[in-house]
Amino acid sequence: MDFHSLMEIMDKEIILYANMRELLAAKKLCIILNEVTKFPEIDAKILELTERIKETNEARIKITNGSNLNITTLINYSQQEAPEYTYKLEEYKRKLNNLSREVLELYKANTELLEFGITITDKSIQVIIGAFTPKKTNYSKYGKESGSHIGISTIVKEV
Amino acid sequence: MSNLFSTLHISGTALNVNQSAINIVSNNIANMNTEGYHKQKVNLAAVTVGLPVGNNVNSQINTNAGVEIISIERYSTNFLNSYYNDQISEQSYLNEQKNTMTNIANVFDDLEGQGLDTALQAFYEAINNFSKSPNDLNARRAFIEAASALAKSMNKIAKKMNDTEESNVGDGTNQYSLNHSKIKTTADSLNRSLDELASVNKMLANSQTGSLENNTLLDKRDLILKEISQYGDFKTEIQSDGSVKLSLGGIKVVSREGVEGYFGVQTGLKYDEYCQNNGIKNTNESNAVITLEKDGEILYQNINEKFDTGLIGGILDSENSYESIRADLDNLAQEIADTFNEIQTREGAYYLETNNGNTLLSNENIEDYKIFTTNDSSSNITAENISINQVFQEENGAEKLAAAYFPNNNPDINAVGNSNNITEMLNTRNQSDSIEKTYDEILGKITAAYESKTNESAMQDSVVQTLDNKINEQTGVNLNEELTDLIKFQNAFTASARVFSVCNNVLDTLVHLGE
Repeated sequence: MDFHSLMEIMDKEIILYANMRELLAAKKLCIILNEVTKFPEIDAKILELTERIKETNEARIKITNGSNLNITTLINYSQQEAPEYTYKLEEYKRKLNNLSREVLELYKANTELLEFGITITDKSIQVIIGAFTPKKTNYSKYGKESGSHIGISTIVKEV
Repeated sequence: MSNLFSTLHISGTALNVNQSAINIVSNNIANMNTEGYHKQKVNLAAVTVGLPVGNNVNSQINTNAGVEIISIERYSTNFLNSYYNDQISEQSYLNEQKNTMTNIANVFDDLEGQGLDTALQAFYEAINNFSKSPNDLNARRAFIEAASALAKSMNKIAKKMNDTEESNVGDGTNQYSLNHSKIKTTADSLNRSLDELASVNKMLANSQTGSLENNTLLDKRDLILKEISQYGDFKTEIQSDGSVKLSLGGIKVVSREGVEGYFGVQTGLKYDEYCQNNGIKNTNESNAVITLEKDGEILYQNINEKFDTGLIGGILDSENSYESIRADLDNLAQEIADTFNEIQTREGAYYLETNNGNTLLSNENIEDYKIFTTNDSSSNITAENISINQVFQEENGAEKLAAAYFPNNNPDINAVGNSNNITEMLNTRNQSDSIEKTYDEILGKITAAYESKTNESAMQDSVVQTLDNKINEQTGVNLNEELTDLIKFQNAFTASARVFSVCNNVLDTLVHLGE
């Protein structure tokens, strides 16, 4: 295993994940402040970054002979094959753990905020549509029907 | 960590947040036509732990995933509201001025043929008939009837003017009259609004800023301020808790603690007594004097000048309009009396004595036979007191009219058909400054003032309407706008959610790598 190349790739990966953390933090602020016009710009950056991270992931997997090894396994390998890299890999592990925690927190916050936003706006739209809908009574073979037959939702359920 | 998105759940707090946010939207819609309602919006934020939500990455990271309502924002524009209230005050003033001119115009309205215009025409018609048959007693009596009708018509207009003015500001002396006047009922209404404002002030001080209850109170406060603005040029000072300090021309009226003073009204006479007792020079000419009182004590004896606009300012200023037209009318009455009395009593004018075999009598005591005099024994003739001389109402009174005139005091007492004097009376109709022209000028003045006030009032109505629309545009609920915004948000949220699910795998890789 070429540990030198691995170190270079992992350096890049850490920078890219740090960038992702920055973008997710900016995105969260946009959602909270309801600056929906800024969404596309940040989303485009996130998608672009995602592609670059994927490419770096693949490059790393190539160096590790096609295996997607985690950092603990890599440290074990280095202890046997190249102990001079062990310290640096442990440092990477610490950084990755921090990044992982931070990025996931932001990701969770963003997705939950988005889900709340979607639910609130959907309900609000229903309330407004309800205000526009004329009140009427429907009768079927079972007699008077209660409730509205107009089912409106702007939430797209992904299967 | 596969399918991270699906593992997320909505917390109990978030559900409450959802419900509250939807309640606000429902509230906006339910109140979209409620007067004074200001649109509200929920401001959400992620629940923070330790650090506030900020613009830097660290503070963002140190935030747990969860949502809370940080405030319910109420759309309001203090600058526009303040300007709007000023314009409402001006609108009320101009409307009252217009009403005053409408009332005055109604007093002079001659639609039923009972007005001064008709009386003047009938009077000259009677003179004309009299000039044709100067020794005809019926023509003489018709002249007296017409003159009496003219005087009564002037009395009637003067009384109507006085009654209308009295209904506005009282008669200046009688407290009962003042208590039933418009100025008093207006001041009472204003006081009720002051009480309401003080009550809302107290409730605002005890409510939490940014809450639904607080916003409802602020709407109520603004409605009351709008109401109060109609009465005068009140200045407001909004406090941090939303309560308001109200003042008029530098005088505190309402504070956080309550009403500092209520508006009262005293008669001009009572104020005059106060001035005399305290050695103050009284420059007040108004029938009604506005006071500021609290707990039975008068804090300010005369604050009329503080009401330079608003409904109360308009009512107080209406006295000037009445005064001006009344002065014109009094001048007209004096002119009528002077014109005909002078011709009737001039040297060379002779009256008739039918008992003496239709001869003309000496004019030595003709000074006693003035046609117009006063009915209240005062020396000045006014529209209110002008009257026909009682001499002419007595038996053979018609004979005392001096129809004949002989220049150079060279009478022919048997020249019974002489109508030179009465013809002279008739000729006054053709003079450049005739009585009818003077009356037309008064009517022209009233019409011009009425049209001017109507136009000013209409223009001000338009200004207020424009401002009203502007405020509604900014703070009112517009369903189309709300719906458009919501759909825009929804599309943005949905698109963004898709982007997040795309980067799921990358995050899975990160978590796996860091293990």
